[in-house]
Amino acid sequence: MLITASLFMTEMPDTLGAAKVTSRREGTATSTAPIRSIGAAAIERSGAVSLHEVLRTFAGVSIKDYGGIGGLKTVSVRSLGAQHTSVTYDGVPVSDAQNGSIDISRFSTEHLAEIAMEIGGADEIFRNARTLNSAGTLVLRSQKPDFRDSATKLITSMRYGSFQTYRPSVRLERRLAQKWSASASADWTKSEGDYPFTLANGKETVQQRRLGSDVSILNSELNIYGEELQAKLNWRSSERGLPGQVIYYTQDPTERLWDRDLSSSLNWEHGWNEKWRSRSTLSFTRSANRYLDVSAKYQQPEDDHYLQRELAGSCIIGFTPIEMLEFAFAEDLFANVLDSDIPECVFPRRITSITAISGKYHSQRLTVVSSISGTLAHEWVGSGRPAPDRRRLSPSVSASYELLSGLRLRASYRDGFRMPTFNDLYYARVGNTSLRPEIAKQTNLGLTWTAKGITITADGYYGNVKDKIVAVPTMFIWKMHNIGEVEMSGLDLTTLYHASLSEGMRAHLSMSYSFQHAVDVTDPSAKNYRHQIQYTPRHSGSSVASLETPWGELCYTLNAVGVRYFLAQNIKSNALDPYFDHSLTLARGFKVRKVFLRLSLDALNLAGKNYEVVHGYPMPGRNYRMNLKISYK
Amino acid sequence: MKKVLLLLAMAMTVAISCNKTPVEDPAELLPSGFYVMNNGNWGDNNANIGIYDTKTKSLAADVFGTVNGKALGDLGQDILVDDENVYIAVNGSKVVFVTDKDLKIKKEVVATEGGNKLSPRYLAKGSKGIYVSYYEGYVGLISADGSVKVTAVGPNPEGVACVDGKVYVANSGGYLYPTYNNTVSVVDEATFKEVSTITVNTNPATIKACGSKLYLLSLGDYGMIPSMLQCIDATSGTVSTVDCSSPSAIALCDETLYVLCGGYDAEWKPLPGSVNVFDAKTGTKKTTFSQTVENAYSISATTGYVWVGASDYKTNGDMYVFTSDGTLYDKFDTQGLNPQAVAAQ
Repeated sequence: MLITASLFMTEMPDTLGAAKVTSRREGTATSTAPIRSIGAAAIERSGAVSLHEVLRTFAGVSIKDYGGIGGLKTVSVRSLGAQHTSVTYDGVPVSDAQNGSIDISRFSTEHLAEIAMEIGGADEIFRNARTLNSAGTLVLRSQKPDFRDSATKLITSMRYGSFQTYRPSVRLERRLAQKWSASASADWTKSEGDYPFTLANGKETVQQRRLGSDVSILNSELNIYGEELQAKLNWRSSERGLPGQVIYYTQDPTERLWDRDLSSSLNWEHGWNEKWRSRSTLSFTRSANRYLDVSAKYQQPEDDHYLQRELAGSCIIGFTPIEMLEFAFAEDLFANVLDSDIPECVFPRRITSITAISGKYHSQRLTVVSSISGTLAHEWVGSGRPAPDRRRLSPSVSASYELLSGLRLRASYRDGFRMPTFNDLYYARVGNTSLRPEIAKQTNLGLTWTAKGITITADGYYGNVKDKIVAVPTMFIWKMHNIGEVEMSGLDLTTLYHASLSEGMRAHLSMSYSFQHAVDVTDPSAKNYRHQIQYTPRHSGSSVASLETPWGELCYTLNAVGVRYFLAQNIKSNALDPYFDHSLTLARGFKVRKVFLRLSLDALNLAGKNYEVVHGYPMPGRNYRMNLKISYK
Repeated sequence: MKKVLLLLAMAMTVAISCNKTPVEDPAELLPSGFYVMNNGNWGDNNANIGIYDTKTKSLAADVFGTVNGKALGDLGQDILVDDENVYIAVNGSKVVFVTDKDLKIKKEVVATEGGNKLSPRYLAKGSKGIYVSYYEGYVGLISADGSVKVTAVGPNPEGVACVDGKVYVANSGGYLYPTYNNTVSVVDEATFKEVSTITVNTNPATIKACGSKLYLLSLGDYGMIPSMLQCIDATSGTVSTVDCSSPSAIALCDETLYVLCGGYDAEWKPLPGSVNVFDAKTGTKKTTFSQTVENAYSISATTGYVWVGASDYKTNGDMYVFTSDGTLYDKFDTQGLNPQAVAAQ
């Protein structure tokens, strides 16, 4: 097949969106707060299929990965905790009022145009008020139809991977009328997920297969684009086994999880005149979730159903009186409802209003961004007493100044927080309605340097989390309390290099290094006082090197993570070994008339070690993926 | 116990025959090695057993792991010493290890029923062997050859105790939240069948036998129904309440019952644990230890000593060693999470 196709080979066409990506990349150097971003072309080159594969190469960003395709994956910035990271998808916040953190395994990179992580601030002030409270914002932008070549575009791909993993995908883009177009996409991932792994127990090693980690995820989306309007409908349905932690001497998974998520949004963006513009969004999300445990410990299998709904409206008004000055006023109003058939569910309902005012001054040498957001939350419950109203102001300020040509100094400060989740407040026996929001403050000071084809950033930071919401155990009951305090300081270094070597030959190199010192300062008498918090390596780094040639593309990705501790105390028995994850991707494109084919091969975790990101959840060893993408224009 | 008496007798013979100065402290004549088992953290495979020496006041950590070249596993729940054998119930790993006194594994006892491996909880010695409760609703009998057979009891059994040819099993119904169970199953040792049930307080947990009396700690529903200490008369089957507030764990040794009491303050923060001493023959309270223990987690009793494990559930636990009169003898780091049980070597 490879040989046949190569007969029709013409020159490698440029991958879409490359120009846009370059400009954004350079924007990472002029931004007033650290931002890590990657565009569609670089994502495709890296071979990444899931979001976490991309995010873990970002400096200052860490992923908790419960292994396998279906395993829960959460993202956090600078040891502040996953609940301090907000996620927006095409400008609409994705939320989970029950758990607080978003499982990013639900997003595939397939149809994304850009993935960006903003750390402690952002230069774009024309944005939802909701994101201004969080320490980090993961910004996901889907690909917009591009009809430069034709009015209809069809892209299909078929991926096959180790452990019987299939992933077909289809995307159709069509121009409907002069100002209207639509795109529809669907992808389905099915995997047995029963990868082999080596379990070491003292001097013994046992070969096992990871049982109960099968997964089936269907993801579909419909977008309608007008000149000012955009409507989105997304349906996601998944079923997966939950293998749980690996336990010595026994393996009998009994848990399964089903998710049915519907999300819809309507977005209207309008420029009233040269100075005023607005964006209004209305969105509705419904997430149904079923958890089943057939363990023989139950008389009847445990079969729990949860239903979360969110109705949200937001409005942003932008005002640009003069070119260098911009103001934005944003209001977010959203209602969250949780229903469940678990015993003692109190059926919590919450309405939240977040109002923000932001300002930005921008000149050739200096950029200053400042915002303040005010949050008010009110709750009701079906039974018992609701938590009292909570109010909080969250200020942010950031600036970037050009010291010399290409060399900039930046500084930022954000006083953010996270609301206690429905589980924190109301979960039977464990919940505590007197919880206050958990506060996360961070200060960043950095230098950025850009010259021809090269960008270097160095950021030092200090932050702390106060009133951390933690489950305090007692003899029998765990109860949520605001008692934790964590101090963190660290350094993030990134370099980015692009070079055109010759006609059709380009090289890209990005490297990052992070040093994190994040210690628990809750209780001076505790045995873990000033110990590095769980799952936080002191040293970590990554490198992505790729080469584009007329004959194909090659990309090598390295992730290196130092010692971490899976429990609070920094002692040897709680340590997780350092790991190096090497991956290699080879790809080649072919053009046959109006059809463009791209064949890629990924070899993942080349070292084959079943390292653990989360204790008890070994990663698959060396595994492979093969992808054939067919685009028709 | 036999061995202790034998040692005592031997020691006295030695003392007399050698005509040395008489030993003043009888505790010095007892074995000085004690198994200290840490439950570990759920799912982390970090249960372990160390051996503490009361003479040197030192702990040899994770002796089981060192001797066997492999870890104890997930959630060390109970340990029982019988003659030359040590029985260790490892709940999460679904195995009962039978070891020698140096903790070297002799047998690995795995029970299955209906295709499911069973999760051992608590151990008790009976006339036919060692009985073990299995959380899936069974009680098992481990024979001398290491084989195991099981019989059905109530839901989620916890504590087990033997009196006069009967095995008493506390059916917690812990997975029947929020209603729980409130029965104790009585299994006839001869037929190995459940013959009756006794109604007790909600969520019965640990059970200890002294003569014909059974002391039962039930945990309540962690809400309206409080934890409670009850006494079951094995001959009549009657149940009476023993007066004590917020009991959280019990231990019994040499006809003395030690009850760890705790409870919570108005903001649901745990109160320090206090040790209450009862005469197990009569059920009357004798005294309360003057020293309380913060983060009290477990209680064990051996001849001469009372052991209170303390845990914050995130860092290594501490063991408070009291002499039987309530004097703090030592406090040490147990080198593991959640110190669960202590047994004399």
